[in-house]
Amino acid sequence: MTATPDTARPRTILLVEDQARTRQWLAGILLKAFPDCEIAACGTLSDAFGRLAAFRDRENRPPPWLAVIDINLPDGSGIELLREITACWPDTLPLVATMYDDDAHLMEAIAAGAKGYLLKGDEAEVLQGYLRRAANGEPAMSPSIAHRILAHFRETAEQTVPASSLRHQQPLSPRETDVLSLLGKGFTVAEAAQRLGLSPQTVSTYVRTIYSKLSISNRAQATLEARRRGL
Amino acid sequence: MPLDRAGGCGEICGMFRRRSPAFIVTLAAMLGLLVIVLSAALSCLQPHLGLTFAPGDHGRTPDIIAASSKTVALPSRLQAVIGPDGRRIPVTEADLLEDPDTIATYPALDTFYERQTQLYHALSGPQVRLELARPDGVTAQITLQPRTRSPAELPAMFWVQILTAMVALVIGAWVWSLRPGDSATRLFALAGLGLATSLIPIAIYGAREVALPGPLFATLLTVSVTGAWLMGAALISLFLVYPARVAGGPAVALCFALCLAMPVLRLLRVAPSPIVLSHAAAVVALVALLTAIALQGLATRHDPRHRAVVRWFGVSVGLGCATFVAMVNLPLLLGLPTALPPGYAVTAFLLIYAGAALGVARYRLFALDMAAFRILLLLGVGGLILCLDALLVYGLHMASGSALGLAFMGSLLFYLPLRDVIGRRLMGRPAMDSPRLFQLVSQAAFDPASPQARWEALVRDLFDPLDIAPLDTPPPAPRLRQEGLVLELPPLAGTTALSLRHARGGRGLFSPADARLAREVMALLEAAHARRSAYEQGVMSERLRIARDLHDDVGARLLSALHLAEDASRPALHAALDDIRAIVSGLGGEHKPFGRVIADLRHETARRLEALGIALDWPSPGDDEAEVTLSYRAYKNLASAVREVMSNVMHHAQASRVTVRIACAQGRICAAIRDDGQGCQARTNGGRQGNGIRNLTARMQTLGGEFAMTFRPGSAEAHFWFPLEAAADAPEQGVIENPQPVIVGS
Repeated sequence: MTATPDTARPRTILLVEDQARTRQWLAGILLKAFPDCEIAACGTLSDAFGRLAAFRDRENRPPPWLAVIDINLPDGSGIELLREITACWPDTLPLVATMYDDDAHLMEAIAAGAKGYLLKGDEAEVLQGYLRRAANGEPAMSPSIAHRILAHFRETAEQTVPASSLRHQQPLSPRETDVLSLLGKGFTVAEAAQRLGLSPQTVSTYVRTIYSKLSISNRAQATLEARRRGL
Repeated sequence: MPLDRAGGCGEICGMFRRRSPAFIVTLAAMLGLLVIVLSAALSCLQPHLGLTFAPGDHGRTPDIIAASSKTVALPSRLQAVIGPDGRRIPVTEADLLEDPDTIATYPALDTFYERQTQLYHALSGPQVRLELARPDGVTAQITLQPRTRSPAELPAMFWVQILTAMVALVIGAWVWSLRPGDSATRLFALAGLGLATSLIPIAIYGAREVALPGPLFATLLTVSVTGAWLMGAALISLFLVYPARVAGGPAVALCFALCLAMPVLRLLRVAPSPIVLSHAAAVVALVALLTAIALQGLATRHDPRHRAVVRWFGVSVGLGCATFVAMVNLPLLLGLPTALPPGYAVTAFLLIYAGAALGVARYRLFALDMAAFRILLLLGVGGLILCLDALLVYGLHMASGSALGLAFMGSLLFYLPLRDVIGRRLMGRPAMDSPRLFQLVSQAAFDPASPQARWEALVRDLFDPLDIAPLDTPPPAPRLRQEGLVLELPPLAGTTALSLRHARGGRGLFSPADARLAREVMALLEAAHARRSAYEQGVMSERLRIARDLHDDVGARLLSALHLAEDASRPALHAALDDIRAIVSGLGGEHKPFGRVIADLRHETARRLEALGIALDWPSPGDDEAEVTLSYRAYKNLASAVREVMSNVMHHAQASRVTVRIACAQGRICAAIRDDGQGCQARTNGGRQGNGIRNLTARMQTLGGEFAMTFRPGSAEAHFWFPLEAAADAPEQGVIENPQPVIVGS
């Protein structure tokens, strides 16, 4: 997740977006934000999986450090790709490109391991700022996503599950809940930090932890569900 | 009520409770009518000589002032009646006494009955010899043939008393029939029965020409006195328990025991004089009654509704009884002449019954209301039809030849159809036909606005009950209560459980068929509700599909266009994307809490301003305010207004700080957005942004709100407000308003 610039070799960004114009536009913005990067752009899910296989096969080439993935792809869901990346390349920073930040798919993507999201309708300058911050470990979080995450943890806390399956589940800490509540009211990370008497970096760390906890919780839930169904 | 516990009466009450009010009132009227016919027959069948006497003093021989027979010379005096055995029985005014209760001593009373018996025997032969004295002192014997009277020949006083009795009986039965379980109505009905029982014997012996057999006379008098005391006991007890309960069951029982002991004591001749026992006791009873009324006044002084009942009903009962006592009992007790013949004084009691009827209308006396009068109206119309029938029969009997034919044709053409119509109205409405039922049920099912009112209207149409009241303990299914007097209905979706009282305007009882009909209608309604929600669900899933398509397909195309577009057309494309987002959430039928709306707007605004380095001051709303839910339209209007103002600030103001305050209170949304940029007219003139502000002004106006911008050196402020209601302007629920059901075959 850390984005230490490696000047020796150009870093690769995987961009998966089916709309050609949007793809070009996003590629342009990515290049502006990270001028020293190479962009591997794909239009379909199968193409993207092909690229991933190529990265894996060539030992000498490092995996992409950033992946920007559209969820609605003509041959499947970008969420499959997210899962694959989270599983194989923990050092890659996967981001979701979405049209709206209150999309139900967005929550699913975060649960699948996305570490942030981009709004494709944003103005280029706003997007560049977002990309840089995401790369610096300051992921974005919209109020509706914050509410969804809060609701998710409230529900899992209420569920009665065997203790063994709770091992991997970590509930949100009170501080994390505070941060989420403030973000849920539409405050920015900086404003939330000010209100909580913390530094913005600390708050960003909390946000990253929340993303991870959701992802872990989601995997634990899936395991639990699978066990319940006898898989 | 001790009456309830007295086995026999309880059984009778139970029997009547199984009948409809109209049945009970009609039964009472029929019973009264039967008694009238019997007493009129009894009076008519007495031997009658056709003589009319002038009212005069005791001890004198009576003056004959009119006679139907020419053999009686007028004026003359009736000196004596000559018996069949030739014995001469002298006649005095005392024999013509209207009411023997005015005789002061027991021996005189016995003599009176004895003479009545003698006179009766003398007068009942086929031929009667009378000794008359003319004014010039000449005495003559004449022979008359006694005959029976026709009802028309009975004295007016007879009819006054009989009608008073009928009114008492019918009004008492009317009140009781509508609240049969209530001790107050039971006592009131009992008082009516007592008055009728008292008046009918008085009418019979008052209508005699000269004499009745002594034992019959004595029996009639005993019945009359018993009736009077029954009435007294019932009225005093009534004011012990109604409207407030000032005394318990034992006091009521004691009151009845004391009052009903009076006729027994009278028969046993316990008191020194008959006058003391009847008239003095009547005065004491009146005092007891007035005391009970006064106690009611005291007990209800803090309850205005009961107080009005006491004032009205207490005064009419007190006045009615006091008038009678003052006109009859008191003068007789004090040996003064009575102002009015006692026979007419009984009309004072009509005050009680007029008071009761008006009390029902004005003060909900006995918890009855105007609907109760429908029963009386019913009885009146029924009686009228009977009278017309009698008249028709009488007319046909009288007419002859061509007149008979004409009368027959007239009745065939006009009277019989009219009678049929009235009769059918009286017998109740015909069963509801299916198209009408369907229309009513679908109206009740498809009106989401007022399910309770619709359901009550439907129930009213189905059963026409006199009374509909909400029920605290809902039954599991429609069921009959109180032997069909009440039908209880369980709640439907959005309505309360109901208790219906007195089916078909009081003309009938609820039957198992009614309960079945209610069950079927409720099942129909539930099915209609279920179908409606299934339909709404279908509409919803279709909307969600449209929303998805809009979002995925149109949104993606707009996005592509956005990424190719020049700077000038970008804001329009952004706005289109925002609109799609709002429309999509609107199609999902989402109602967003105000707090969430503000959070989303704030987040969006903060991101846009942050990129430009503009600081934002926008506190989040309080918890109460945040809970208010906004409709899709209100949300969309608010979001577009805020975006428009923000775009204006970002593109033209060159501001470093924006302050936003948005409140949602008292059914409206108010917003103030201030920036510290150039407060320049250019921001509202020309260009797209200028247009945007102008559009916003127009938009707020159509919503019933306002938009204004004020500029000062170094700052600009946009103010707008709009009402939530108009903005909420009902997104259609997927149901056609006022559905008009298709009626097949009409």
